[in-house]
Amino acid sequence: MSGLFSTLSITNRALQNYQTAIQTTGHNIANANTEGYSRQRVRITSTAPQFIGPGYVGTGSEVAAVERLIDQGLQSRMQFSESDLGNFETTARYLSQVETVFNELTDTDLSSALGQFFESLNDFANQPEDITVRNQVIQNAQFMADSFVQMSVNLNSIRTDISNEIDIQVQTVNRLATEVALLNEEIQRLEVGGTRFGQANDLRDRREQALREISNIVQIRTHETSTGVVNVLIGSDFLVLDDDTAEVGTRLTVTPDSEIRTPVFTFDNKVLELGSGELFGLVEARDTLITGYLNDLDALANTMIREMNNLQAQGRGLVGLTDVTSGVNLSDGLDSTTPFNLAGLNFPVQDGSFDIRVVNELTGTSSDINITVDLDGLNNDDTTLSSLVTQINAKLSLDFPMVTAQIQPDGALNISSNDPNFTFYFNDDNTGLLAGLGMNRFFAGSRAIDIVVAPELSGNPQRLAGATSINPGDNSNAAAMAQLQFAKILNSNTTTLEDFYQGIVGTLGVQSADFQARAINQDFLNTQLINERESLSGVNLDEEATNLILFQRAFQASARVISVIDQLLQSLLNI
Amino acid sequence: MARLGRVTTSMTRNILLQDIRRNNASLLQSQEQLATGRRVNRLSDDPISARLVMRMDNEIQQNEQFSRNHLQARNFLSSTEDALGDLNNVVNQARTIMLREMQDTASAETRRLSATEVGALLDRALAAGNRSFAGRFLFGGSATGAAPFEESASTVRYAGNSDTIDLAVDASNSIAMNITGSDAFGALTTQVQGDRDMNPNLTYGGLVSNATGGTPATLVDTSLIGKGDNAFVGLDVRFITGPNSPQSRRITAFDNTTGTLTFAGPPLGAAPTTEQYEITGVATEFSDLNGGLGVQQGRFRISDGLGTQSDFDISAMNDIADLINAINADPTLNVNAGLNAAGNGLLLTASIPAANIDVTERDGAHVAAQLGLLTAGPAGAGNPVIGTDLDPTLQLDTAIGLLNAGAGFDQSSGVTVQNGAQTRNITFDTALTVQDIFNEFMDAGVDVTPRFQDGQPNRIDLVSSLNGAAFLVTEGGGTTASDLGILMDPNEISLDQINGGLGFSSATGADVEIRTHDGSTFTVDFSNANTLADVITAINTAPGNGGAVTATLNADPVSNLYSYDLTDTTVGAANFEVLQQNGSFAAESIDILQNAGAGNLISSADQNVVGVQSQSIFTTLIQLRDALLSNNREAIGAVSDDMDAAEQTILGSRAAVGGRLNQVDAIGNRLDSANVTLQEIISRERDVDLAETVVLFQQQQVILQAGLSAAGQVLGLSLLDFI
Repeated sequence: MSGLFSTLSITNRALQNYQTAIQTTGHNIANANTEGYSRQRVRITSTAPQFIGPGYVGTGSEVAAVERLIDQGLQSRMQFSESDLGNFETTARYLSQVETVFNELTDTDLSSALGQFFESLNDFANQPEDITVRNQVIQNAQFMADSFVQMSVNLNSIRTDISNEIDIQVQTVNRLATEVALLNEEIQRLEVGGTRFGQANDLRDRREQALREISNIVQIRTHETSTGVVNVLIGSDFLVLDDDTAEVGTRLTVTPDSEIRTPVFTFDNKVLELGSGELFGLVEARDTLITGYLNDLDALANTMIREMNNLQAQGRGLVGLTDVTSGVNLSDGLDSTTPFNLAGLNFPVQDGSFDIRVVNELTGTSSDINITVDLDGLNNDDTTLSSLVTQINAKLSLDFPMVTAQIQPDGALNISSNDPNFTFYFNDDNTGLLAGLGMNRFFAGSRAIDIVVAPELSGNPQRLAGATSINPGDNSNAAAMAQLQFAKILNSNTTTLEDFYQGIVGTLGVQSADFQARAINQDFLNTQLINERESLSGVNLDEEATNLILFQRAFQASARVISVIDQLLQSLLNI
Repeated sequence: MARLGRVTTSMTRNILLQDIRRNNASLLQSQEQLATGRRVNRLSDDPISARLVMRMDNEIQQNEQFSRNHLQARNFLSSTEDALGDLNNVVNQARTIMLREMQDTASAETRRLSATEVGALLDRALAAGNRSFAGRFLFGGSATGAAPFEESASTVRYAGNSDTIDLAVDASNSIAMNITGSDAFGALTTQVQGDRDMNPNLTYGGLVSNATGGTPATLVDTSLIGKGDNAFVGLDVRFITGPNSPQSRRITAFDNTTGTLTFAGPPLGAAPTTEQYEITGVATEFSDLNGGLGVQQGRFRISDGLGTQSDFDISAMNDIADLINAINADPTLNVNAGLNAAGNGLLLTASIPAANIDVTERDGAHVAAQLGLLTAGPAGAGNPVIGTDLDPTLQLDTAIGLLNAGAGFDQSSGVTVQNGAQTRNITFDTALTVQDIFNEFMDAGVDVTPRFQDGQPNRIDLVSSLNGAAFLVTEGGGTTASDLGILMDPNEISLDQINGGLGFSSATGADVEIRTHDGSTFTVDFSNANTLADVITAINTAPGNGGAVTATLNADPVSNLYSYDLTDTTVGAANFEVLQQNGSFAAESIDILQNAGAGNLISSADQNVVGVQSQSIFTTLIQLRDALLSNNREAIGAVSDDMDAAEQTILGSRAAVGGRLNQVDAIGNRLDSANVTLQEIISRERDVDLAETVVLFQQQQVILQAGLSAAGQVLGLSLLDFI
């Protein structure tokens, strides 16, 4: 039917179309500040023309679709960018905390403690007879040990904090994954029959926003199916498949030092394949960076303990020894029938010998009893704890029966003299065994977290071995201890203790600065991408206002057409 | 910022917000820098600078410590200097007294009074020697806890040692802050020097083992099989359990295939089925070989000519036992290792007749050569490679059966040591190691200490710590002293020690004139003669002698008898006689002032050597005091030389102390200026440049303000306002 009614009908549709357009403009304005919202546009097309003999006449317009203006390619780039941002920001944040733990460039840091310890050792070498100076050495050693322990404990508690944050982030991933799954279901339902009639724009916006939020936490890959469903993968494992989600959780490993939580899929306990994202940053910071610092600190403490124990073991204090028990016993892995180099001692032990120097306190004469430590692996006669005891007793029994060695019930080695006029000390150890066993040791422990001044020494400063002879003014061993400051004993004998520590701190500074810079750069990049997205999908209120005027005018024009048709019909009716 | 097609409302807001945030952050950083005055507050602010600052801080801390070490050394050295100054005064006053009492006007009475004065000087010297600083005795070496000098029965005993106390002055150098009593006072004699290279043999080393049977003269221990030929020869076996305990026997032979040990000495009692024993001795360490030069780290190769070759790396080994075991344990190499027949080198033998041993170097090292095993080529089928003498140095733990190329020494005769009023015969029957020899001397209670000679570690010196007493070593009836190289040598006996200690005096110019049968005469000047041997040299080389007169010394150190013979080789009618010249008492004091007439021989009586004495200030003062008391003008004059020597020692020490004080001050100054430079560098790296940062701060403020006002205006704009 053509003519006035047809025109009326065309105009009526136009009015409806413009109402839709105005509604969409209103929707855009309403969501101008909604995060993740993509502006929508009503696509109005002309309808099919009508043949009326001489030609075709137009039949008006219709709403073809309400579309989102998005760049689909940008979405995946933004997801990756979000992942990297989460990764770098997290790592930078925790490295700042680690910096605080090291507390360098202040006066209460470990390098000051190391310096003070060596200072007191120098004072000790200056005045080996002075008990006050000896006490000072022990106090400074304890302070240094405490610094090691404190740093170690703090680093471990940061590791625990990270584990807790992993736990929280994993729950966030679950919440967002569930949201994506629900949106998948809904979008599929709404878009049944294909996207010909338009898409579930707002739901898709929400889904994309959720995916970006997941990306910030964990790097994902997404894949949209023909039915409008987005499947999400972490590495090669599905996090969301259609309307199902694979729940993620954490697996707890409790070490003596800290709690380690590893993100896993709950159903099969498979560890997430993390490529980037906040979780990756957390795991990386905890298991690589902070663990690295802890290992370095441990190496430093271990070397310090080994070298100091080695020197202390081979010297003599103001008084000789009458009763020494090894710091290591069966519970520390010592085995009385396993060769020492295989017994799992804290420090390496090698083939060689050491002397027990027995001093006759009445005459001042001393005798060296050479104890061989055979660890060449040949002849099946390598030295074990029990063969060592046999050897010591055999060699001492004729001349010095008052000095005996025995294995204590707890598996520790004890050497004692039952005659106060015969004391002993150790000398010329080229095996490392004395330090390995912790005989007449300086420090107990073997790592940064358990280093402590040996209890047998801390209350007994006279035992601090400044001499290698029975002379109280002999400072040769104290000087050797003080010279440890300059000894290149780390990194294959290329680095001193202090240089090694400065290396740790230097690495930390560089890494921290690096991650901060990367986080800032990534933030820029991310903003850039957001701006790029905004440039296409964002709402410009001025533009919407212009559209509003446009649609308003068009609506008004259409209304005017109806009014004209009405007048025309009136004219006809009045005929 | 990239060009963007559309600018949306929230984009405008985002960009503004980001800029404001960034401005805020940099403003905060400037604010922190201004508040702390430091440019680097955290490691990550500037890792390079932070590292540098840490290093410098560290260095400053070390330098401050070194400064403290200097202060300590300075105080100690100043006190030492002070005490030495006192001592110098004592010597000067003693010299004045000596000169005064040498004059003809002196009488027994004045000398007795002066003796009291010298006694007081001795007390002052003792007080100086026992001076302490902050509770530490200055001159005791490392024995700082007790007074080093102790007077008893007209002798002064030195209880200190010769150790220096070293303080670190920088990372690699140290300085001795003390002068020992032996250096400053000459408190230890150094005259009885070992003159025998003790030339120890190599050894595989001792161990504790169980005998599994044997006969009275041998012991079979199969656990010893494979330790190498001669592994235990020269060592002592001590029986710990069983009927032979606690006897010991020297091992004279070892059979490497049966494990049989053969002993010297009387037969042993029958061994029970198991008898625990100890072989004393420590395997020779590589570092002791080649006169103490050691062997370089690295590997060498042994091939057996049958297609098998093995590399042995001694870096991981400590001693020759490790090497012998490693070679013998090699499962494929047809070569056995042990010690050579002389006991001073290694030995490689072919374990099957066809083996043709060849030893070569690896990696361009010289390990095989330094082990004495390098061969010019294959040794030939079945031939051994006999290692050269590896010349190990004498150590405290060297077994005494290895000494003197395995001959040991006369242990039972002993050495007679006379030191002042004390005489002991010291025997070494139970000694097993060099340390036992040392301990026997020290336990003898005659204030004699043995030590290894400086620069000649294979020789043993005996030093006495008793001042004012003569020290004499003679044989105890056998050859012990000469075996140990500690018999006194005419070259060592000072002319001061002859005539029962009165010594020998030489005048200015010639001391004697010698007339021979042919009527010619010549003069001899003894001014440069210090020892018994020097007298012979002086006569035999005197200008004008020309072989006319031959002087010889009849030295019998075993019994401490020394006399001179002068033989006239010319022919003629004149008398052979020795005459006094320039009023010198030299000829008289060595008893050659004789006229042989027609005879050809002038023989002196025994020179009456009392032994050696330390030329310390104490000895000098004691001798002076005794000479004054006995009113013996000659004895008073005899002190003069000793006094000179004592003064030289003191002056030498003062110079050394002064030099060290200068050194300490110089290092102190250097450290101070180094610290100023370091502080400057730290300041430059760490501290903020105030002018720059303040300007920056203001600039940042302006930028932030601009950003804020731009935000206010831009966000206020909207088309909606106009429709």
